[in-house]
Amino acid sequence: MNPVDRYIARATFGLPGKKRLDTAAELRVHLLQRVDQLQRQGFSREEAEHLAVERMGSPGPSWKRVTAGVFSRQVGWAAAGALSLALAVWLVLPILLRPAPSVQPTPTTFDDIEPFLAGVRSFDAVVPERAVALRIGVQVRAGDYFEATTVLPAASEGRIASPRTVRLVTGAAPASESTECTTGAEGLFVRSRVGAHDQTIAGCLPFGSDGVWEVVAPEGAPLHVDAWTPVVVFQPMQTISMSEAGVIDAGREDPAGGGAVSGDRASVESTRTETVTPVDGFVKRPNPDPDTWLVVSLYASSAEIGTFTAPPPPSGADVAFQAPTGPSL
Amino acid sequence: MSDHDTKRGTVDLAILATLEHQARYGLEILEEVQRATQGALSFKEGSLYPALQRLVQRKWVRASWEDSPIGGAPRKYYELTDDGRGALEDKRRQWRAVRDAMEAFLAMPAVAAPRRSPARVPTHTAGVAS
Repeated sequence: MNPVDRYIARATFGLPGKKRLDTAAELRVHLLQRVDQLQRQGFSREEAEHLAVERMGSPGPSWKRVTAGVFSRQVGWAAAGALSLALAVWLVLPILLRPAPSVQPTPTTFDDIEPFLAGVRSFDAVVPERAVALRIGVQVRAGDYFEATTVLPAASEGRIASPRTVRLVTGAAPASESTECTTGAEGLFVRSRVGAHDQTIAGCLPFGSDGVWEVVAPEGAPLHVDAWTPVVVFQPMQTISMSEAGVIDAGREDPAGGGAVSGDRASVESTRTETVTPVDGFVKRPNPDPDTWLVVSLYASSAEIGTFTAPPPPSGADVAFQAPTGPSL
Repeated sequence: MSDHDTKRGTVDLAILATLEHQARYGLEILEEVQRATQGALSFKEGSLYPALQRLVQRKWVRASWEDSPIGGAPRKYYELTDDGRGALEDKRRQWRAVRDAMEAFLAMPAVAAPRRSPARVPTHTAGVAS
């Protein structure tokens, strides 16, 4: 390796690829031109190369500063900073995030209170984009109903708020838990949550919460705009005498499907096969009277609040109630 | 300012001034500096290229490879940018301000240093209990 090559190799050591080649080419042009000048002055090729390199000075310090400028300031400090930060996070963060001994009130979840409730059902309702509000209607007996409106998050900056999912929980509280209801009545609640908005509608059931709660909306049931969609129906228990129920062999399944019931009830009960347990000569069975049913329905409304006009939510007569064959809830 | 900074500032000013009216390649810059200063300002040729690289990074100078007008290998030419012209003017003003200040200072007549007065010694009289 001649002095020129050696100088270029040392001067460009550590530079990134493209920059190294560019710098090497520039230095070689410079040195060869200087060698040519010196040779024309009478120096031999070897002497000219030596003198040309000597005029350049030491390649170390100058180019080291260039490389140091690139590596130590940018990559080096960034790497050191990242390592320090990672170490600090690894060591300090678990200490900082460790909860201090204290008492922290937390929101009560339905999981906490479920043993005290009946008929708890929860849904995620994905509301159509055209809808601006979700209305929750509870039809209790014919003509009595509760209704609540959950306004969906407003679209911002031209975008539709997403996801447009409303969390719904329905259920009833025993009389002892619902102090606002008259003695013997049961409390009804329907809770809706969307984002930070949390709303609960409550009322008093005109009958006990001991009954059959059935989800009538199949999984993935479509939610149409401006139309009621029943999601839950409730049928209270009816306490009747064994003779009225036509139970002959208590505790065993009646192969006739409870066919001893006559009159209007026969059309409903003839399709059922039920097991009843007599207590003191009485049995409980779902009340087949449509007027005692409770229906929770949803209405995805495209109208603003105040302009909402819609028929009352469906009643028990409008919903096909399929009584379960298993134990009641 | 250290000697190193002073030297670097001088080299930068010399390079910018050399490129003020035309683009030049490395060796040509050196030769122009030598010619214009009649050899009074000289520096190791190897320090030219880091200085040029520094000016490129500051966007005071842009570089491009061009064929040599006299044949041979292409050369990397440097030319001033608009920012470089502004920097050249700033450095010129600074240089002239320093030069004028130094000339004024060096032209001042010598002044005798003031005589220092002797330090005062505090007197203290201790009280005597009767």
